[in-house]
Amino acid sequence: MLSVENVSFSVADKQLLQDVSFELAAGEFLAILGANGAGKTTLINCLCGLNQPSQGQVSLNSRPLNNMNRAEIAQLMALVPQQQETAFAFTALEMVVMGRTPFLSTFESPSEQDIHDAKRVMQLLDVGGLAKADYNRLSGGERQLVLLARALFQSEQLLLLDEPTNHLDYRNKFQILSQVKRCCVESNTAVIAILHDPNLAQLYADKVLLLEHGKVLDYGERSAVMTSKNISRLYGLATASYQVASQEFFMPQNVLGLSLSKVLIVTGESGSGKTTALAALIEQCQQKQLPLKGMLCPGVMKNGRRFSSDIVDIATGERCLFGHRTGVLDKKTGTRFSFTEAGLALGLQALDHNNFNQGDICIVDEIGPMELGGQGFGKQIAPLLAVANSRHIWVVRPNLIEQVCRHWSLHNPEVIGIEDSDLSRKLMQFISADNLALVGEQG
Amino acid sequence: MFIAKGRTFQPVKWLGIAIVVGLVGLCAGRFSINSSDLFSAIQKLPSVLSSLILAGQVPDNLTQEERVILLIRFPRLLTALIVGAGLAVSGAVYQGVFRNPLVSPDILGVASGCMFGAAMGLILPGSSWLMVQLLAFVCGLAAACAAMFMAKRFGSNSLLLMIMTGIIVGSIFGAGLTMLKALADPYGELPAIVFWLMGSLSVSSWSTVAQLIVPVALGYGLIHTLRYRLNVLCLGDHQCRSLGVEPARLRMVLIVISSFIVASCVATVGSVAWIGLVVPHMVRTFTGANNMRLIPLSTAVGAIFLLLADSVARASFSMEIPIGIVTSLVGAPLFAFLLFRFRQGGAY
Repeated sequence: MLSVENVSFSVADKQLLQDVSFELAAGEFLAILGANGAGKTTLINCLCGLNQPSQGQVSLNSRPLNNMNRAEIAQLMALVPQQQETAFAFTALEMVVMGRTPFLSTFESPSEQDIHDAKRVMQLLDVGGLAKADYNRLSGGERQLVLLARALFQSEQLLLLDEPTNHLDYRNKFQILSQVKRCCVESNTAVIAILHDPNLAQLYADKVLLLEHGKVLDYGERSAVMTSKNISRLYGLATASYQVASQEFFMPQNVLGLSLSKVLIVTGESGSGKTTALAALIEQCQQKQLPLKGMLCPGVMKNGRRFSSDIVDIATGERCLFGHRTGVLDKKTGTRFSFTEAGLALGLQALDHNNFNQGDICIVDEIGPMELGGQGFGKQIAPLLAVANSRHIWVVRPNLIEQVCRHWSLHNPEVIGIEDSDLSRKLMQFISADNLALVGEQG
Repeated sequence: MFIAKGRTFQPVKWLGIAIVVGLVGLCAGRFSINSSDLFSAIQKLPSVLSSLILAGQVPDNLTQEERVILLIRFPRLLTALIVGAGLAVSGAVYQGVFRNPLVSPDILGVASGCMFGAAMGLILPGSSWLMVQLLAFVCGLAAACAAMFMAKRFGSNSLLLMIMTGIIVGSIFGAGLTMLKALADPYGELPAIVFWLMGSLSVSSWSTVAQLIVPVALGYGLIHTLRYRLNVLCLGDHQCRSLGVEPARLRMVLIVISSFIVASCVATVGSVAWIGLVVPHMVRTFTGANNMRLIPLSTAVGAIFLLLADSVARASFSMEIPIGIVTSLVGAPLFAFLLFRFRQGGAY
């Protein structure tokens, strides 16, 4: 039905979409999830020909969109836009009848039959009684149903829904999506919907595409893509999954007062020996054959300041140069360091949530302003927190502890100063604590 | 027809109203005319028209009353109908295209251009009345084209930008007009310019009707066939495209047609305030926003409104008062009443 191949889109040197590819068959429901500004609406606009992709191709029924005119596209593909008031008050029926537009020639207007058919679609969606009501005076839910009726009247082949549940109350949210899903099943309509709630995607979608900064984070069958690690990564929020009536749902851990993982923060000023203490701990654990994961940044100090730094993947032992001090403030990273690509890649590998399993212990040296700004390894942190029974030792400077706790919604994590004489014993105790005690612990 | 029942546009009804108002208008005036004169004059209308068209001269077997009716009041009545219809329909189109009920046909500076052109024609030595009208028409269209061209050159097709460039062009022509007024001979040219600006149908003749009917009828015909597309355009560019209609081209076509109509009307009778802005407003208040009804109804109401206003303008006082004053004085309270009456079910 619809195939999207390596679509990229940029505006004024700003890359909004990069290499997005997916396919959709008739009767399938694809949910697009992503944080605000991830490029979801841009992608939808590329799909329906409102934006011209700078690279790649969108094909509809094996015909490239570029070779179709606007009416031809609209005959196959109907968009339910984010609802907004119209400048003038059309009645709900007039709005729905406009779905016929792509099938009419320039000078033609809808016929009596079209009006009759539009009324029938409205009745199917239970909004037949609103036909004469002014669209602008309808409630959000009614408007959304009217727009959905227009889209279904326009095309039953492919529906694009741009945040269809915005402004809707609890009942309407499910009503709209149930109607859409019914079309998938009964009329074999293919649906692409931008959703903000992963649980709605979980309930209705067959396939899910996760979009992060214009790139596909993950795409595939719902069960494969919808994991708490992926959701945590996508929204930068540690998320737990729970079961209701054999269906898995997601909820932020902090909202549930649940923490699946435990965090210990080692703090101390720059050059106070935090990394050295952790290196000693790693060695100790290796002797006891306790596996550790994560990354460590042993550095070279000059004049009491970090001059350059290596990065070590604790699990594999790989080591390479991470960065060195340039003395010039880099506006992008907010630091006076220049980082190597190999070092960043090694760090991302060391903190890749796909390599983490239940009960793993992860060291992050260190969480600084870059991570708090969503750069560096910032995006890796939340999905790691979603790993059940995992334990995390983070290195954080004293002035950032509060911010770090707020950013990752940590409830009173254990904080140990580097000057603590009991540091190594406490670290060992944290690592060897009873795993099971952590699950379901109230924060 | 894409029109809800009970709110249908009934051409016969509106034609009937126009005829009644027209007959009253023909009788009204300083020169009193009774119904038998009117009846005999109307019987002679076909022969007068045919001799005017074929021979280019007036038959000489007419009484004074018949001459007043057939050569003065009748063409004036038709001019009022055509100009009223033209201004109202282009107002409705502009409001739809710009998706703003506060837009008047002058939004792109057409009227300012016309006024400047007319003032220039009045100042230039030896220019005929036809020359004045031609200059007004050309300058009006030039203003609209300049505004659209500027908006396009600024790189965006946004409505706001077009309104901005319309203001720019309008103010340049406005400044030019003031300049011309300052330069004009205060005893001859300046009053002529001022009276032209006030707008008047007193110069109407059969030739006025002939030069107006073609652009207005043609323009209206096109708008009438495109009025369903105008509905789609009212939803905004994004929805318009998703419904398979390319908004930029449609918008351009509609703006060009309505600017053409406005330029023809303003060039012929001067500036007539209020109609283009308020008639579509009034009609929308009681029929809703659907252009399938709004376009024909605005046209009919605009035509009848201006005819009534002109009848009042020439019959109520010993001297003829400028039509713009009447349209505003009659229209404003009427509009206020409608807003009050329909405030529960308004169309905005």
